[in-house]
Amino acid sequence: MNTHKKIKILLVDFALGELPPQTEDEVKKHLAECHQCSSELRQLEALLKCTENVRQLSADAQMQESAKEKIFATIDSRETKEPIHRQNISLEFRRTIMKNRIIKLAAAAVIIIAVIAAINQLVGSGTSAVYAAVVEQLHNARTMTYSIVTQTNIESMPTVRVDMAFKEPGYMRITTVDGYVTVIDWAQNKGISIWPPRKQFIDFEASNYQHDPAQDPFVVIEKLRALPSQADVVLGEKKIDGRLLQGFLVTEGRVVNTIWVDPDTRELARVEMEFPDAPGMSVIMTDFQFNVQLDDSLFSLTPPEDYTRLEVQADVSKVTEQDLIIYLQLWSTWTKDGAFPPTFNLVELPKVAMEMEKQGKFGEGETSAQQRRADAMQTYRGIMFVAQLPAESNWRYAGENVKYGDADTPIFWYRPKGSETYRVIYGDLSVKEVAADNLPR
Amino acid sequence: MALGLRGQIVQTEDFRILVNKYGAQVLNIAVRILGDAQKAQDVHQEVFLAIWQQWHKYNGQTNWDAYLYRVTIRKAIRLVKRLRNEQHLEQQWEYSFSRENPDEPLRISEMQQKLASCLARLPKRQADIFVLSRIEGLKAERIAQMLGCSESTVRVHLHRAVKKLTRQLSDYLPEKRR
Repeated sequence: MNTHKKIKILLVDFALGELPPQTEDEVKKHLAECHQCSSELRQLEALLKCTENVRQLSADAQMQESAKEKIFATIDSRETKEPIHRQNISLEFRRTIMKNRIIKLAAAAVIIIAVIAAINQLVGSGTSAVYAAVVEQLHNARTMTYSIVTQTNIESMPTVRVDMAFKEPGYMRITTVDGYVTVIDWAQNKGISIWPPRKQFIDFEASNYQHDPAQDPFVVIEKLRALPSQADVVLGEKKIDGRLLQGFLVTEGRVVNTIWVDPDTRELARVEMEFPDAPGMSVIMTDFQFNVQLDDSLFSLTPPEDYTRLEVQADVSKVTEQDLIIYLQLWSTWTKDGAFPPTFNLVELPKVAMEMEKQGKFGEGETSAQQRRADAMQTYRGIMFVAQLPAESNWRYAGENVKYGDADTPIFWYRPKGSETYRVIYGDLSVKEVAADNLPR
Repeated sequence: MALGLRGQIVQTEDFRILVNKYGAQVLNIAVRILGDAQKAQDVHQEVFLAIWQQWHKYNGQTNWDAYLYRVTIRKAIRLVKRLRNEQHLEQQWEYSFSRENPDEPLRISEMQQKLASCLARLPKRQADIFVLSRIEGLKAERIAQMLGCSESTVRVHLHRAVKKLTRQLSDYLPEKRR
């Protein structure tokens, strides 16, 4: 390496004053002769001078006081509920009588598709700052299995447990405790849901899905590999299920993750996720296993013999708010009392739907195969709209026990990208722009 | 630096102590990165409300000093990214830098905004280390403790950050403007 190249590399350290005296003299000597390096140094020094100036800036006492007061006022007024000025926007919907068990089965199946996206969304954000040893473990993973338990503080919603399995290059298998299995081949955008009690299966294909490496819902392992190695807070040790684990707190968007690692084996043991927007709800991931042998047959898209097919083809190219509204309206037509879905926790929605069916909350009726397919598609698109909302949208669903037509009750709100205001959907499915300060509490 | 605040009855009071003790630090970091009082207050609010929502999770082992440095930098840079995506700041900066006399030195606030935009383009670790080192004036040893890495890692990332930022800002630094 010639002198010029060598000195050029040293310029940053020279500007930062971190070179030993002898090397510093060498650099100075070269600078006296080299216009290019002198010029580069002047720019480096200008940048550093600028940062020194910035360092002198500080908030004045009035600003500090004002910021503090704002915080204290907010925590003191958490319970206050501000009135919302509402403006009804009429939307035309057809209320179709089309209720029978097969429809619900098809709808529940496509919900499963969206559940996968949701699960991934949770997983993706939930483990996004696991500490270094775990990150390395994830980095080397070719397969991964774990269990997810979803709990709410709502009595009518039982705890849901599903087992997950991933295998490169993009296979995913979800098994519920009831034996329902969904397999996705992400490379082909195809999947299958198998329903043993009815000996039925559903092929599904998400056509026109726009691949975005940062957003692809199924590439979990790849996402995990990109994790930074630093957690926000070290929580110390705690005994969980007989194991002494070390905890790390990571807040990502609107999800708060507590990651528990076995300090002896340095293995990921447990991930707990909480949602400030849904107090009492938690998702717990446990039983992590990496690089276990997973046979290809587990990810087969071929249905078992003697099973009958229900096909669903979903176009998720351009899901919009309107898809969500139609889905909400659709659900209200399925229920006897016209109520909206009790939850938008996509992990537990299929289970809730099954429970509702057991409890006779859905109406009865007949419909055509064509209508069933259209409804299933609409369900999928509506749910995908929510699944694809970024954390920054601060979306929230509050439609439990709200019936279609209730113009006074907000049931869903979110902030579109780039918007200062929120879109709030009411029980009559009208939509209004609402400032953040006027959102329902 | 741990406050040891776990008692349920005094939770709110403990939280107030935390805000009183570290509020200025959080606000100053945000002001230095964002160069805008209102946006700095937004970040201050976001940082402390996020802590309040999870107050029951924190324990006496939390190193608030380090935690608040990291979280504030992250949230401030995230805000820059969001604003940049919305093109608000870019437009503002375009306006700021379209000056009649290019030899006139840039004001701190102008340079600050440009710097913030460039910081948001750096890898997270590099941006954190640059802010902690050059804007907050912390020593490599303390940064290394704070981020759980070695001092040499701090130096490598700082070196890379300075180089990248100088390159990205070269049009606004003296030599190129002559």
